[in-house]
Amino acid sequence: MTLQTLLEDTIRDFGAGDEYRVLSYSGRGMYGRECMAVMCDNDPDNLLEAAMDRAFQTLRENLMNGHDSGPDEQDHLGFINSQVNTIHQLVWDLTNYASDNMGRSGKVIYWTNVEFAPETLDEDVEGDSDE
Amino acid sequence: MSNTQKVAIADQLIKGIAMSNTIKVAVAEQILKTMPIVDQARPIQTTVINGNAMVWSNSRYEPRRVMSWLYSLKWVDHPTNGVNTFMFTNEQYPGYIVEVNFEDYEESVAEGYKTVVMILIKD
Repeated sequence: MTLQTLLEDTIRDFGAGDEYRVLSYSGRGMYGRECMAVMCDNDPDNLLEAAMDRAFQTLRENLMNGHDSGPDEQDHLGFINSQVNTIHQLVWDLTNYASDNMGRSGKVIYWTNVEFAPETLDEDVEGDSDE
Repeated sequence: MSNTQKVAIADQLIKGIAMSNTIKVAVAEQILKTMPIVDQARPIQTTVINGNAMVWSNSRYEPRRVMSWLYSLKWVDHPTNGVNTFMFTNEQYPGYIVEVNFEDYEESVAEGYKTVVMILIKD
């Protein structure tokens, strides 16, 4: 699970149409370099809280399901440690974003050090469509 | 900006024709270039997202000083969710937003900048 897939899955669960969209963006201080971003028509807090819930739910499921490397206790502790570290990093990343306002009708939140993975994009929402 | 470009932009604005992204960026850059509170030697950053054109540059002034300057030009601030973000609108230019941020990029802070000023031209 990456930050981008976590957010995409959460947005899909929301069923909120175009309220939130994952895309590539170049924000303040980036001088054209692009990163992963979410365009939010509404307050992003709801999305971020839902993404955190989803991340912890995934952690719970993974720990309940365990792993199949045998009864070795060290292996088991290593597995738990790795799962917790992954989710800890995801939650840390979720809360450390930059944002730019789109006026009174939205906001783009972005993670300057997270690369956007275009292959997971459902639709092309970016582009300079000169009329 | 040439006189021809100015006339073309004014014509589009008066007729209510949607501006192309290229023109939006040109207009936003032009506004930023007229702002004395911005360091004009600093490169302007530009991006287009969802049909909105955004340009940024940096200021060596504290956000409050930048905001005072905007107030003096009758721009009005609005509440935002961001603690370090201030958004301004002006009734005369409803499609234009000015956003003022505390500088939060290490490189810029190291260069002596304190504030980011953004011009947004909405779709």
